[in-house]
Amino acid sequence: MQNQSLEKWFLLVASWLFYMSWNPPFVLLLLGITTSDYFIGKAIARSNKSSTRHLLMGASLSIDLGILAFFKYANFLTDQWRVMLSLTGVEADPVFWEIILPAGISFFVFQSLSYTFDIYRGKLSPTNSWRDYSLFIAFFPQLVAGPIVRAADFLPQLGKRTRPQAALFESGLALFLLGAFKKAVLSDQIAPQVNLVFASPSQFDQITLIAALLGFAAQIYLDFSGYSDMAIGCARMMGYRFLDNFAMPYKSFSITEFWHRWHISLSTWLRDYVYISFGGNRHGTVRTYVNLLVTMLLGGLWHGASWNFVLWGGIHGAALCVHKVWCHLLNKNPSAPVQGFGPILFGWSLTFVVVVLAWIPFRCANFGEASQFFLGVVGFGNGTINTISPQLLAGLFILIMGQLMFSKNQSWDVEIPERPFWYRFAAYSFLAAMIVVFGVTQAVPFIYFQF
Amino acid sequence: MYRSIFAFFVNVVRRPWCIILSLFVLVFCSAAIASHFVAYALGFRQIKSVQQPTEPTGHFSEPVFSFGSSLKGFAIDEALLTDARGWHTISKGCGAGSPAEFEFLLNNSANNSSLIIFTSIFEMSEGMISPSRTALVPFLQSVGDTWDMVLGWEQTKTLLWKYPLDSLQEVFPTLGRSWEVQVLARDKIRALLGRSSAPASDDGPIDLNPTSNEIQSSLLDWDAGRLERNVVQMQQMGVSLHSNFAGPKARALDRILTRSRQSGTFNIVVILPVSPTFISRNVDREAVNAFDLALIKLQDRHPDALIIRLDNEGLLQNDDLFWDLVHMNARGQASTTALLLERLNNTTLQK
Repeated sequence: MQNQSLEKWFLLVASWLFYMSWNPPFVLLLLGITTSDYFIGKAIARSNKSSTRHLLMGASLSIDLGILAFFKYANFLTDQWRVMLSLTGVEADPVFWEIILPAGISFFVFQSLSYTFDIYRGKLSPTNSWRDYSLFIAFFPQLVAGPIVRAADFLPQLGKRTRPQAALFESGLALFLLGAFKKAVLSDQIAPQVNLVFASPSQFDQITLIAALLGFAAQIYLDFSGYSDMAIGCARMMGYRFLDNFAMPYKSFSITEFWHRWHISLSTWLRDYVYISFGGNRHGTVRTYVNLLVTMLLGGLWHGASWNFVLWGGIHGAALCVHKVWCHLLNKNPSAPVQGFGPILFGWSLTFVVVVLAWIPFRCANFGEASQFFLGVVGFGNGTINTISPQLLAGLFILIMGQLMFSKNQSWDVEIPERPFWYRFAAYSFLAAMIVVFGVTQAVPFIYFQF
Repeated sequence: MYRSIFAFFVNVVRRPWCIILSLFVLVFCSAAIASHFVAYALGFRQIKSVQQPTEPTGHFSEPVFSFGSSLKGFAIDEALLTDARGWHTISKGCGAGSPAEFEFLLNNSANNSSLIIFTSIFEMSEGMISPSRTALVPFLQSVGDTWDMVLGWEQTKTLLWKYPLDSLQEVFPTLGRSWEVQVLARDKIRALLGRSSAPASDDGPIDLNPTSNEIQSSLLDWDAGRLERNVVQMQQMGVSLHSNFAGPKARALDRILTRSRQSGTFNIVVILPVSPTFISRNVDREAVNAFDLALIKLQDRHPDALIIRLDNEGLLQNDDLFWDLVHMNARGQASTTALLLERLNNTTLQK
């Protein structure tokens, strides 16, 4: 017991030091949110009066979302206020505050909110250990870029700590290697070409723009899923199991399926705490679609303080609504698997095109650039420069081959410890060799670190 | 007894953790072997620094230490310079070298020698870290220079992280050098297929100290795609907007000029030009002003040092004089050397 306690304190302090390596003072912010929600959670559980529970939940929401709003959206909100005033004829000077965005704030705020929410809904009992709760929030593998872990999944694991088994450790190591390969070898090699084209899209011809768009679709998937794999693999090596965050989303046959496979921890969080809180599908068809659209708009806004992200969320929300309507007309469940070669081909193609085109506003700096890029992609641009890097082509090829080789419901990292020794040696050696030979080590930040 | 020992050994080796440990060790070794093999097959070079003395031609008895990177090698005809000035020059440098590295290429004997340091806005940017930095500058020196967070947290981390990373290169020589791997592999494949090499300036290692500059091509020959690729690559190397000119490099230059301030010696700092395209695409107005201010303050602190700014010479602000974003071609070298000689001739040095 004493060893377990020491181990958890060690992990907690290590996680704080890890967070401080980004910007030391912000560990106080992390401690503040942790402590406030820990005590609010206990108070909610102790309280019998619903008004008090409402008040406490409101306090948690206000503190957490208020902090998030300040650090992430202050300049955006003041600028929108100024624009609104100007529409009424009142001219105000633009205000810009130099606010540093704490790394991972969107992730750990959501994680902490899920804890108080679950207690409020009676789904979870509060933990009596501030240390365990702090470790749940600050655990370094998932602190700065997810996955957004639920207290119901992680706190019991912290409570009854068991030594990691060899197979679990190896599975974690395999996943970590795979994640590092995706990030350092594939994503970071694609990044320069993508950055080059998105920096000034009007110069480039249609082929180059399409290649860059596909490159960004590959880059963001490889970058984010690579980090998630490394985080989940690292936790698994220590004996903690997190749920997968990505499950081959580009093999989805519908937009609904895409959101069951892309950033699963965020999509389930939005479903459980935003969509269901707004009423979900319990208040009629129209209200269901409105709730879905609003949830996706907020999901877009979560990614960044810009209308571009809201537009991205809106495109996905609209696509989800259209899919729901379509399934309703065909009398099918939107989550049911698509069957038949024709429907699969049509579904996959449409989903892929919508998802890839939606990346345009996500990546571009503003609406102007996004519309310029879109026009260029569909053939109405004026750019003439043609340049496609071999790294981009190689990265796309490897990604496509990987998607074709593995089934979308297959978990290679879980299966591999069962394989023969020579297979495992060959697989791990290949990944490790690729990382040391082709891995990029200059600072190419993880895309989702900015969220 | 032996049978039981053998059985015990087999029993231990078959344990899952033992298998994982052996797997890990084998994978580590195979990755290291693969890395060494690739480095050997592609002919990796790791040139930390160069030293090239010229023959004494003049009546000066003490050597003049000349420091610079490949920019100096292509911008200045050093043989012509030393011949015209009658110097006995000992030329030292390293790739993308700056005073931070030059300080450790100086030896004690240079304390009473004259110095001429060639640098530029490109090399003085703290975001630009020379590949030879960790080999020449001790870790503790870098820690001491960044202790007060003059670089900011991110740049400090980037700089200090290079030390363990470069140590790992002893085990994995290709680690962090994927660009070089791909360029050399491409050239090998082209050679095998009987094709000529790609344009020299696109990428790849550059000759630190060319014996002569006969390059006639220029930036104006580049197509737009090649220019964009190189600009983005330069930005990703860390030479970017809002450059910092008040960090370890500036401090090293201060120390060099202070240490070598002896009677009878001269200290010259020559600011070499870079291409106008580089300035317009990689350096913003704020950084240019910061660089100007840093040089003014340097002159104030060292009034006896001669700072020659060739980067402000209108004659050299021409993309036609550069074969890539920062290196000069033959025409550029001729113009720059002539201008430098003219400025030196118009100045009275202590010697």
